[in-house]
Amino acid sequence: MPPAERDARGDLLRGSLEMLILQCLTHGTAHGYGIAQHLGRVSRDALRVEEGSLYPALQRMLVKGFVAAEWKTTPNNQRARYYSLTRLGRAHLGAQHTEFERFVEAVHRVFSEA
Amino acid sequence: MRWTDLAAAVASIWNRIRAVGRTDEFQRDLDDELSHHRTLLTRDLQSLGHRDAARDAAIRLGNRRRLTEEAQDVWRFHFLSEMARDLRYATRQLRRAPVVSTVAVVSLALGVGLNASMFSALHDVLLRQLPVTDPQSLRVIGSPSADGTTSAFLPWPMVELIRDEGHGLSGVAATGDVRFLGLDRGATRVLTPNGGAVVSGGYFDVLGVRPELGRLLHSSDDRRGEGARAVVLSHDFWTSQLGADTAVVGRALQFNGQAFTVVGVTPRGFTGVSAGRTPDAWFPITTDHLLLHRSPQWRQERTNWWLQVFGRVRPGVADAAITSELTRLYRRFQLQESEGNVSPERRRDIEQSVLSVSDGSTGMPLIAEAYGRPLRLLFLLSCAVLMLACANVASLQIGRLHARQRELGVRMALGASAGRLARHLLAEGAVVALLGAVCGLALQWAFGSAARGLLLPLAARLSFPGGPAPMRVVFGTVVVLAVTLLVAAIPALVVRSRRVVALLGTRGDGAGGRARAGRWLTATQFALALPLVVTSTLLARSLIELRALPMGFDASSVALLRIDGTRNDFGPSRRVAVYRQVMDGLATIPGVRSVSAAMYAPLSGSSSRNSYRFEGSAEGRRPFAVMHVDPGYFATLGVPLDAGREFERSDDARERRLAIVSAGLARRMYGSPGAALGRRMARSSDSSDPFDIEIVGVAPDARLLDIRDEAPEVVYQPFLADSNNVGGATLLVSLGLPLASMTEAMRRSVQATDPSLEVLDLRPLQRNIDTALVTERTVARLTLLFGGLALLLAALGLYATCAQDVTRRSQEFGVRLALGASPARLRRWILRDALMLLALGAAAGLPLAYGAARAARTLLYGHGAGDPRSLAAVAVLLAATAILAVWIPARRAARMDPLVSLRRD
Repeated sequence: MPPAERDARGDLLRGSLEMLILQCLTHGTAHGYGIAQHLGRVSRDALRVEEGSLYPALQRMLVKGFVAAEWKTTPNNQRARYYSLTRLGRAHLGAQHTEFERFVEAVHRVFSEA
Repeated sequence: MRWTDLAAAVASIWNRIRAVGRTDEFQRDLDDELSHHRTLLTRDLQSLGHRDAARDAAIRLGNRRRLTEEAQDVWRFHFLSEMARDLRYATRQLRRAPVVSTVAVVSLALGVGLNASMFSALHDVLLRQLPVTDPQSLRVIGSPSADGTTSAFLPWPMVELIRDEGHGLSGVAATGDVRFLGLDRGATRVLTPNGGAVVSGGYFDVLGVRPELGRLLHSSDDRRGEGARAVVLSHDFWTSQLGADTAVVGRALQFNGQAFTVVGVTPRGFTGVSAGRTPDAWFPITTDHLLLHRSPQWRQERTNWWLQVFGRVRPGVADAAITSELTRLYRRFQLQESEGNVSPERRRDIEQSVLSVSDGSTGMPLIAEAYGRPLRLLFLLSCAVLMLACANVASLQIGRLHARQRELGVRMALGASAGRLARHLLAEGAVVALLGAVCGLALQWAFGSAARGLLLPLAARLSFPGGPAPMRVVFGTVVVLAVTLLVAAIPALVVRSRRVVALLGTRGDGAGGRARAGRWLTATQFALALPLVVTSTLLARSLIELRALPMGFDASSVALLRIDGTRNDFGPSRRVAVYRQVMDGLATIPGVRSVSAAMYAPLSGSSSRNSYRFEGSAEGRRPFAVMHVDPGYFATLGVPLDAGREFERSDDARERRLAIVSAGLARRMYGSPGAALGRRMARSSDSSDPFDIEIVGVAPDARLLDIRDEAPEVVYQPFLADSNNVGGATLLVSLGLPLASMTEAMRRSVQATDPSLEVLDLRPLQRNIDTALVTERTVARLTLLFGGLALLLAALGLYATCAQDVTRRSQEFGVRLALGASPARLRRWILRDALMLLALGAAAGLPLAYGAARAARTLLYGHGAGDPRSLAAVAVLLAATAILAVWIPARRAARMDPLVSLRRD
């Protein structure tokens, strides 16, 4: 994807990254790479998460207690950190999502003003 | 805020705390995670057809270092780590200027230490609550007097009246002093250090104290009569004298020659009801005549006012209600006492008398009233010294800003905001302040009691329980915080002001915010120094006057011996005979001019009170101070009588009862000393009883009772004549040779007269005078110290400010000099500037000084607070200090070479 396009979309992502990661985790535990892949796939490549934003975001959510992490060993004998959603994270996600929907609807109303 | 946000905030703090110290572990974790990510990415890129998938993956991952740092940053306590950095930087800065830093820390330590010491003394005397049940509901019963004191001594029948008929108080108790309490151990009698107390049965019950061992005294001990000779020991006494023997209950001990049985020990920390004096033993009041050598009926007489009374208020009853009830009982009691013979003035006096209750949570008010005012004054003065020290340190900090101008400018250029710089300086100030304050508190803690002993010799008469009290800890914390705030905040505030920020990085001159702040601080220091210096000067003059205080008698060559024949099996008359023999024996020693005796020594703090009526006087019977003295008393003191004669030994044989009155009393009753001769007095209140006491002499005014009272109204009664009243005795010996050389001879003479008689105390009379004045002298000494410290600090502050000013304005001075100003003129100009600053500060400090002088006026002798000579001395002192402080910088300015200073960058 051309870099310019990516940057524009990156701005949109920054504010809602946490929300998207949490949503991704509702489907089950995943490691960082898996989350990035999932988001890219489901959004049909519209959302591309930069590693530079992903891991700090994951750490932030770890500190705040929205996700929990567990270390497992892969078949290749590598250590991998798997994240899962906590109850607090689930509640936070619900609230964030609701707020986001409201925001989107408000924007939509502004634009559909005749 | 949503609950999720709250929970997240809590969790983030908790998690960050858990992450402390695990940086390496986190680093490894992140590295592993990123490696894993890279592996997967490489694999996927390969499957997408990238030729060099690994390299592409690495590029995609970007700067791993930065990633890791950013991720880790999430776990740090920003606030804390920044503060830690600030503190490290601050410490480094301080080490770079060791002299200034040390001076700052030391002056703060001194200020804080002094302050904390004064507070702790104040706390012990005035604020410490009695360690009993619910001290808040205790009330002290007393009579408010004109000077604001409320202590009162009541006779036992009055106490019984209150106990029986007073309903507002759920319990009433009385305590009387046993000043000389001797524990007999075989052949020796040892005076206990703190004396004892006789107490009514309800004493411990009202206070709600539980015994450590055995039981305490109860009301039943009141009624048991002579058979019950119970004694309760204090915890300290039990530990020090009896070795904390747990089998002490039931043991028989002999006090003042009388046998008692120990029934219990008070708990540790119980200190009685008087701050500063814990009795060593408590006895039932029914044994008072045994310990104090008087007849068993003495206690029942309504004319003997000797007990301090307190009680516990019934819940829901207002103090005013209790006061009115007690006043009613009191007036009835007084009317009954002088029944039938009440003059109109006396009736009016009685109707205006009030018996009131006041807060008893800190115990009997005697000590607090005696020492409260000087202690409060000293505490306030020490606060002023502390603020001075803070102002000093703050101005030193501001001064150093100048030296670091360039460095701060660079910081700002690199992106630091004014707020950030302010935080830097705050950290520096905080380090200094904390160091100083903590050192000060440590000083006070380590040397607390020693300092108190040195600084407050009045503590030698009082003893306080050691150990931390919550109030003192709170105070210490508050002091540290306040000092930190003051010292650290001021420079920080100065930096934040925009004017200063604009000047940073430039050469800076003229009246910048920084310079103005420095001048304000110096003026403040002088404002604070003024009250200190004024009080010191006033009290210093008092000291001088006190040294020459006219006592009314000659104390320089009189020695006092205390003997006590009560433990020997003498009956009263034999005792008197032995005492007379001892006196005769002493009189034969070469060098002894005369010998006399008295119940208590002059200025000993002890005296009796009795009520008398005077023939021909309109006043009814009322209490007077009484001193029991033997023939030759006044001659021994070198005091010729105003009229009449002294008691004589031959008077004993006659039936007539005699008295000597003081000139003050004579003047009051009869108009002049001479007019009192031959008049008569009566002790009984019954008007039908004749005036049977003849006044045979009038003694001149002398400060024999209270050193502040130069014309007391005293009735002198014969001492050894009434053997029933004689317990121990104080012999007064007038010496022609120095006391040191006579001590041995005197002791041997007493031994020779009666080997079993011990000399309990031998001291010069001057010592009683010194002890009586110890409060004034100590306060004077301390204020002198404070004043000197204040001057020193103010001078240092002024010097520093002036020196910095001169450096800062060296260019300006160079220009002036180059344009033709003479160096002398420049010097004068600087001096004038300093004096103006001083005047400004002093003017601001005038109200404070006025307040301080007024507060100190009760401690002043010989002159008032507005004494012009003292004030002139103060003005001269301050001006001299200011001139001295700026002399060196002024000279430096005048000596400047204009060429050099103009070229200075």
